[in-house]
Amino acid sequence: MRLATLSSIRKYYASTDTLAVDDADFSVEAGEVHALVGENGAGKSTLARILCGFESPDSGTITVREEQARFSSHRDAERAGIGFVPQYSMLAPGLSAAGNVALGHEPALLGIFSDRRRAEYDFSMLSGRFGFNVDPQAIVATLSASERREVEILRALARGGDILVLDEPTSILGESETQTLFALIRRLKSAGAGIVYISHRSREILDLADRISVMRSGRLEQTIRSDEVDECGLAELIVQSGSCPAGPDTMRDPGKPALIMRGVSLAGRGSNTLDSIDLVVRSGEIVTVVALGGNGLEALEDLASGSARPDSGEVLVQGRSVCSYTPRELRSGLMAYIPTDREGRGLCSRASVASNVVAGRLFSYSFAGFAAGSAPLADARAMLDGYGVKAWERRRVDTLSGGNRQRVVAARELHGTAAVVIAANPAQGLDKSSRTALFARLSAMRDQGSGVLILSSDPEDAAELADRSFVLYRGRLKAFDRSGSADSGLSAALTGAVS
Amino acid sequence: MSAALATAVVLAAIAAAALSDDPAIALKAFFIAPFLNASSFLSMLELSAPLALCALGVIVTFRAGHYSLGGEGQAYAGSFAAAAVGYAGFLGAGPSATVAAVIAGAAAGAAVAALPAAGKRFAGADVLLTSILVSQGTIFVVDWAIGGPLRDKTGNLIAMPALQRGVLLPRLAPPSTLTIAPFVVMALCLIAAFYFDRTRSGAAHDLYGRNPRFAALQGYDVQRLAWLPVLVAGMLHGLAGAFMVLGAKGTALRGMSGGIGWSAIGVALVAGSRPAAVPLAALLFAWLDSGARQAAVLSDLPPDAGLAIKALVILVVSARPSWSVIKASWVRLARGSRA
Repeated sequence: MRLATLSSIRKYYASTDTLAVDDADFSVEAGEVHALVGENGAGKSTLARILCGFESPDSGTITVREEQARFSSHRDAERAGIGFVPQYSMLAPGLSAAGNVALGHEPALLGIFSDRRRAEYDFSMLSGRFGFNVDPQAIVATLSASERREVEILRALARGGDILVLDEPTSILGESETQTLFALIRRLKSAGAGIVYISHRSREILDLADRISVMRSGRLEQTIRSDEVDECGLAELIVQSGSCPAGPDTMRDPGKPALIMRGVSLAGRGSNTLDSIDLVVRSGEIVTVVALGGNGLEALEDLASGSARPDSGEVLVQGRSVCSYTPRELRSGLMAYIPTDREGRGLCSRASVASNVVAGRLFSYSFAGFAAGSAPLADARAMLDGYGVKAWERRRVDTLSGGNRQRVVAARELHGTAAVVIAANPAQGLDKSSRTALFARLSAMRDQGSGVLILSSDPEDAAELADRSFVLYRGRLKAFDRSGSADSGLSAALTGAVS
Repeated sequence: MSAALATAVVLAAIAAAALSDDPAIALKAFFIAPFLNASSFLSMLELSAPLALCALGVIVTFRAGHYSLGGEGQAYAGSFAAAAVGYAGFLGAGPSATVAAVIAGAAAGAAVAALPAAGKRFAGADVLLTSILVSQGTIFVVDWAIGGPLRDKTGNLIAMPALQRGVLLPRLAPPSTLTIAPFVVMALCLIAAFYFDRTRSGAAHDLYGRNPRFAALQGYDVQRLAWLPVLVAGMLHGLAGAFMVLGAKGTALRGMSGGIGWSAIGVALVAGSRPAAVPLAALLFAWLDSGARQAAVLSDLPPDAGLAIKALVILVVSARPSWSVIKASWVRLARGSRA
């Protein structure tokens, strides 16, 4: 049975002169996972948002269970049984996890008084049922990026719809949360739900999807069955110039230590506990630390970037404690930093793209140069050149797709030189070609003498780029020798199956 | 904005038609009378100056992400301090006394804002809460001072003694109350617009207001941005209070701030938080105030009805409906009535 159909959908944004979706036909059947793939900015998220009632199409029709539907808001789509997990957080940061899931449907005592306990109980039941482990009372602003994603998923599931739209749900999830999500998707599918799944990760698309639709420049180019294509073939469908990237080239001789973490510990912080971390990143090398969610990767990111102080031990950048530098000193060619929390720390979503791109070098302009306005704009153009973000000049960042947002962060952080580069989940939301371009840029910075530390929950990052790899498991760091191990060896190390 | 203004005028006309026996006279008194002679218009311009200054203060804090609601107390303290310094007569009754009174007003506004600013800087206290608490306390203290020890016991008003003519801002076009204040305010608005649009500090101020964590990571001086805009806003409110005393009022009256802090938030909203649009938005508010008063005098429209129409216009202008939204609403209404 066909659950939802989008026919001849067109969406044009006059403010940015962008034809986001052009005459697209798309459908999802009961009991299938239908993947929607394409390059960043291809129109996938816009099409998904139209299906979920966040956007109205200029023309075309939406049919849900063979009845024509007209959504004036997401609430209408929810009533029609369509749940949505957005690419970037749409949670209320000041509310608890349970409060966010109950938002708009709050249980009430006597129909009047908000019943917080009931909301927390419902949340715990839902969370347990679907295999997640988030504290219902935790304030969302204090949750990690992957925990926030879990709350988003639970919120969509709480509405109980049989059509679920997931927009790059695994981009910041660790391996175990990803597997939990996949198991959940398979359960929902076997129960007759229709899942629309947007992702750039070829392997997981082939694992999950029954059908794959490819979008390019707003047009839905073709729909194929997943057994008609392999991983490299899918990459080439998504990106016409795509190819399977090679691993790192030969080992090189690294230089002096750029970043040193010596005996660094954080005690009693639950999943953010770190135990005597010793790590040296030298100039001219790429070091990758891979960890599943809940093993301290975010705490390690905060300490390495100087956003937090360790309970014991020290973090040195170019021989000086990272906390002894002012943020402006760190930004002046000393440290480039791509944070995992792109929306919270990596971007100012309500500001223009140009403002975001030149934000780090704002005070390097002369008073007159900035007042004239041409210098920042010219810099923004130069910095974004080669990243493939189109029609950005009059746009705010929150009008860009997730992948383009990540490109904006990368364009700002990886421009010029830096003694230390810290890139936390740098490829989140990027399509194959953008990911390859980003990794090429990181390699180039390594070759120019930067010490590059990649912190990732995606084991592929370790395989593709690292000169040295480490696995973080329960707050302890272990070196991992890629040369003698297959993928299964890395998986075992990530889950603690081998010591 | 054209759609919003047209909608506001249409709704105001409907309200006036419902509330007055002669809506044409009421509407003329409300919308046109303030422009019928130069003196009314120039006095209206003077009336808009303190409001615009307060709105500028609101914008400075709002664009730093601080929701300060203490403008009322800051402006009232500014009025009181300007009147007190002007009355004390340390510097005689010439321009130097006027300047001293203006500086005293600005300093008093800043002093009232200092506690919320310090709370934010050193303890991360929410400016929204602390500013309104300090403001309310200040209003009580100033009320007591004006109505008690500093009251002019020779008059019937609860007010301080009237300032000497020489201390007040010179009237530029008598019999209107116009002084130099609106021109100072326009200059300040242009400076603020330049600051936000064309300076590095202004850009950092904006980015901090939209995402303080991002601003911190980019190396901006976020500690300074946590308190300085609150203090500057206090100073602007205090300056507005001083202009009220040294302009149209001539002394400090009990309750003279009359909700200016709240109206300023409305002006800032109507101006879309753009300093360059503030003088025009403040003039709109002053026009509606003036219109409400004129309608009460020249027509049978009750004074409260005039204020209600003013509120209606502000509501519509703040909501800024576009022509497409209005058209869509009409289509929906038409469909509903057909069904």
